[in-house]
Amino acid sequence: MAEHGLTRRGLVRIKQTETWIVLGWLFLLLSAAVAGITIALINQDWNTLWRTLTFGLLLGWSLGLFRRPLWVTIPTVIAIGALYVLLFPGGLMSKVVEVILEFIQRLPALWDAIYAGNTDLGPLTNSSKELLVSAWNITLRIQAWVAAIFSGKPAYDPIAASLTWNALVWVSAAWAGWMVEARHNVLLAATPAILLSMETLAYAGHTSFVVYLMAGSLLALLAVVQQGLRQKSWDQSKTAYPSQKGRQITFVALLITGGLVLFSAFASSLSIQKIRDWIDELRKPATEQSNDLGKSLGLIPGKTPTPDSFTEARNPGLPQDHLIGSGPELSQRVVMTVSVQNPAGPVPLYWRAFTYDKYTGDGWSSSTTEQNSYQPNQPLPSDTIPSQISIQQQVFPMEDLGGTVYAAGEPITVDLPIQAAWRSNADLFGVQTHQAESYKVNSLLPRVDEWTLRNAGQRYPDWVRERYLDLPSNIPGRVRALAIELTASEQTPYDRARAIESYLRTFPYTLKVSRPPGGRDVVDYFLFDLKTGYCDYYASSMVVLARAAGIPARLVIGYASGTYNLNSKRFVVTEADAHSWVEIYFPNIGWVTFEPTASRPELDRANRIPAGSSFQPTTPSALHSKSNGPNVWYVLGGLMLAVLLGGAWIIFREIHLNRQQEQKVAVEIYQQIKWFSQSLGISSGLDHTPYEFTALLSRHLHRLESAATLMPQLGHDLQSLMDEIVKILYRPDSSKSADNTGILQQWKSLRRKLWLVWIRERWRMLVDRLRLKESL
Amino acid sequence: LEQENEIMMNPTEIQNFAEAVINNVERVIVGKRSALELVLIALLCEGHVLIEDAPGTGKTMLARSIAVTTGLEFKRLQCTPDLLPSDETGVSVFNQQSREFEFRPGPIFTNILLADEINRATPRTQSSLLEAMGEGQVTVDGVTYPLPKPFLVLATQNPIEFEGTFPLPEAQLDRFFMRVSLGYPNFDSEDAMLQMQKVTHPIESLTQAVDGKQLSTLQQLVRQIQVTGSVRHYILDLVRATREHDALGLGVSPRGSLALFRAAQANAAIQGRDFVIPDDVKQMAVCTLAHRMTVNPENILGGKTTTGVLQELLKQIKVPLTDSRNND
Repeated sequence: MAEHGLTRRGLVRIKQTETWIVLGWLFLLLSAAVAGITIALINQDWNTLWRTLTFGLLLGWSLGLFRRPLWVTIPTVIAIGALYVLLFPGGLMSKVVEVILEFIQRLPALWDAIYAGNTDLGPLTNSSKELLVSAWNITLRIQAWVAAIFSGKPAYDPIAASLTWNALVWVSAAWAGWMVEARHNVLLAATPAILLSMETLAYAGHTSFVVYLMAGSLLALLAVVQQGLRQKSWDQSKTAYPSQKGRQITFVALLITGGLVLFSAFASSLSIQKIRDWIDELRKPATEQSNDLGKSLGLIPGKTPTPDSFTEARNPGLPQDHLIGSGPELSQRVVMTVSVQNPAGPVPLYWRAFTYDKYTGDGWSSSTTEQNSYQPNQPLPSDTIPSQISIQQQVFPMEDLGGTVYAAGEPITVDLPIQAAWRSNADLFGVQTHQAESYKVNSLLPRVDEWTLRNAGQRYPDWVRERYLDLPSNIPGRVRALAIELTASEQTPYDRARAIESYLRTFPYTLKVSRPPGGRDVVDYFLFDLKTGYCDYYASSMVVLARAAGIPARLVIGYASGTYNLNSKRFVVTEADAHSWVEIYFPNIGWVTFEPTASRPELDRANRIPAGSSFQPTTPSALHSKSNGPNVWYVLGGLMLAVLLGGAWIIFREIHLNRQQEQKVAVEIYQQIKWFSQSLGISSGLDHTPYEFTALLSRHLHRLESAATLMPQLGHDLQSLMDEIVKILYRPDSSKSADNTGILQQWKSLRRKLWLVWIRERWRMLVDRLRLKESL
Repeated sequence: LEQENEIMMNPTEIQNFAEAVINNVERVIVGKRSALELVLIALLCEGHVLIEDAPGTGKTMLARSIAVTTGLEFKRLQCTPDLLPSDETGVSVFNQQSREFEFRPGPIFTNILLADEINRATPRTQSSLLEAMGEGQVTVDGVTYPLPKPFLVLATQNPIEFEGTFPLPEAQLDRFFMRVSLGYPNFDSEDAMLQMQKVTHPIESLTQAVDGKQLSTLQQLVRQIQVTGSVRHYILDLVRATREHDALGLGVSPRGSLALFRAAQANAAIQGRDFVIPDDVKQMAVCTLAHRMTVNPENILGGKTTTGVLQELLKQIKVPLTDSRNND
């Protein structure tokens, strides 16, 4: 009985479900932020941070719920946070538990002991001591870490870093919970967490789906909280609003949010190249797949070992040391000429022969490789990376090049029977052929510009991580220290690599150097003693420094581009162009060339693929629009989508309304009028009868200049529509026909007028406000 | 049923009747249209009115002019502490000639009775009057005499704190259909009254405007006004809220619910509507319910009045648009 009408506590009740929805969205938002942090950090355990987030959020939320003032909230959050961080992520909990267990175990004995006057508390004091020592240790570590930061020489301490991150997550989660519950300010609540996450992501050079998740949940949270607040204020002012409205608004908001986020997420990663590759994959007879299937069924015997012509290339030490002390006559000998099908632009193309992954301290070698034979024009496996440029080149060897196949970038097809040596799938060591003829090579070069390189992130595949970050354990400490020093202030791997590159380019170039003394680390020798040298030294140093700074890098040998002969339209490559250089791996981009050698011109990456230049990529990947920054079309597309969804919703509503029962239609119209008057600032309570409300609205409309002069009929129209509505609502035997055309027609004409009034009113208010500002 | 439908063909009949009565009476009682309407509603609902007012505000004139306008019989009963029940109902007198007891009807046998200052009569007299009001008949010496129809009692009451009165108990108050307060006229109305009465009192020139015999038909007609489920539940919400209210010692009785229901019907009728809307309920709530409730002693000191509580409740209770219970 009491559920109807008035209860003793009054009519305004806050719905529990809404609270849970808000909490859920907030949790999603914060989880996304924490996920962003974990992606960007080394060694940060998602579980711990997530738990911290949960507890922090709940604490902040409950403090907000019980309306604790700020001066209670802040110390509570800090105190509990410090305790929590030390106990759980800090690992002191087990020690505390030990002490407590010890204490409980000893309790009877303790009692006896005290009673007997004999106080042997040895084990208890021991475990307490242990706890104190652990706590002290943690404090010391944090102290040292903080001191290191302030002295300008930051060092990585996993425990201190973990505690810091947990503390940051704790504070931002508690803040978010408190802010949403106590102040209902979503933007302010989410700001610290989002900033924290974005900052770490930006530092690590990542763009992640997490960003979309955060943006999406933030929008949804805003919608839910705003709607909740509005409903609450309506409830409090006893304004009638369509009961379905809240759900409708939330639903539409979620729909639009989802649409926008999905669209923006897809828009930036859509690549026609990817789609084309996929279609190609479907069309191609799947030879490799059937091969694998065959293997698994034991049909094809394993590969017959082929004569290994890679052996001598595999452990070259310093590959180009035959250049040392060489005279000019050697350097002018033409080795090969290369014609590139597409006339070359300003990009230097380096003809690659072999890539090396293993630094030995005195030179380079390759890990074990597996040789596979390929038919002419049979494609070599490669990483499917969108936005690569394919280059077709014809190489005319002028000397015996030992059967090595040269190509700019990753070779894909060669029109000769070849053997390719692989360290692993898509990790090519080099390609060799037995036929000393000219050959055509199709190869892939990564399409790069600084923006994409900066945003490539650090999600390296396992094979890259294992092989190309590896350094021998006896690398001198000062080499590592130098690497950290050079890269400490740079945010993305690309910038760090550039920092190393430009540092090395300050070293003077010379071929007149002695070989490094035995037992000395080549890189250490070059960096700190020699400080001058030739390409091997530069390239080796850069690879080692890059790996020490956490950037996957490898040494590549081959020839530099040579000189371009305009008559023959070929690159003429001489022995002097023999070169070593560096390639650095970027996720989803591939191996990108770096040039640390001072004698070679710097690579101009910003203009590597100038738009509209003669260097046209041959694949449709040109259609893949560059994703530099927000594209106007995507924004417009998103807006269009939102408008379309909104329009569809309105049309759906109209149709729906037409089919409703007469009484429902009347209620809906009445509530829409109420809603409208609310937006004009006329608050009408739930205790108002339709006529009372009409009188209020008419009086207000009458006062409005725009309504009174422009539409003298407005009040009359409103009254007659309301008469209809009242008749439908309160006259039991009024015809219950489903024909609503009359009342709907009336409503539509009134609605048009009300909208006009509304727009003019809003406009007038805006102008008034501006005038007020002016006069102030 | 046929007949009912025929009656319903003219929903404006009551409106016209009310218009005529009120316009006529307004020639005497200036600027009191809403109070006039209330009295008329009580008349249409076969209810009785308690007029609570200071002396000299026109209570007698109101009763008299309604009587003249409708052509109904009017009598006046001045209540004093020594008034006996037989003084109002009448007595059986021994007729010397016929050697029989003969009933001499008291002033109660009339259409419109003005019981002036009812709280000055002793409780015994009050209760016999109220009994007559409730049952529409009088029993003297074992013989039951029906009262004429229509029968309307307008009881006036001076404010309770005056010396030498017997305040009406709650149970007796509940028998009144509504309580009306005329109040002082505003400046213009009082000015108009002074001018009108310069030479003669306008009641002297007042003539009958409607046929009072019509009233019983109209009373039947009022009962045909439709009340939808949502409005009925609105009334019940209000009544229930008075029973659960903390500041009230006594809530509204079911008789009160019925009075509000009827009054709302009549209110709809005099506006020419054949269905009740929540506005009717709201307008009738205070005059039909306020005198049936009592405020707790501690809340009286806090300045709470039954009217105040009712108005507060009306602001809290949601006006229904549709019937949420669907048991219409």
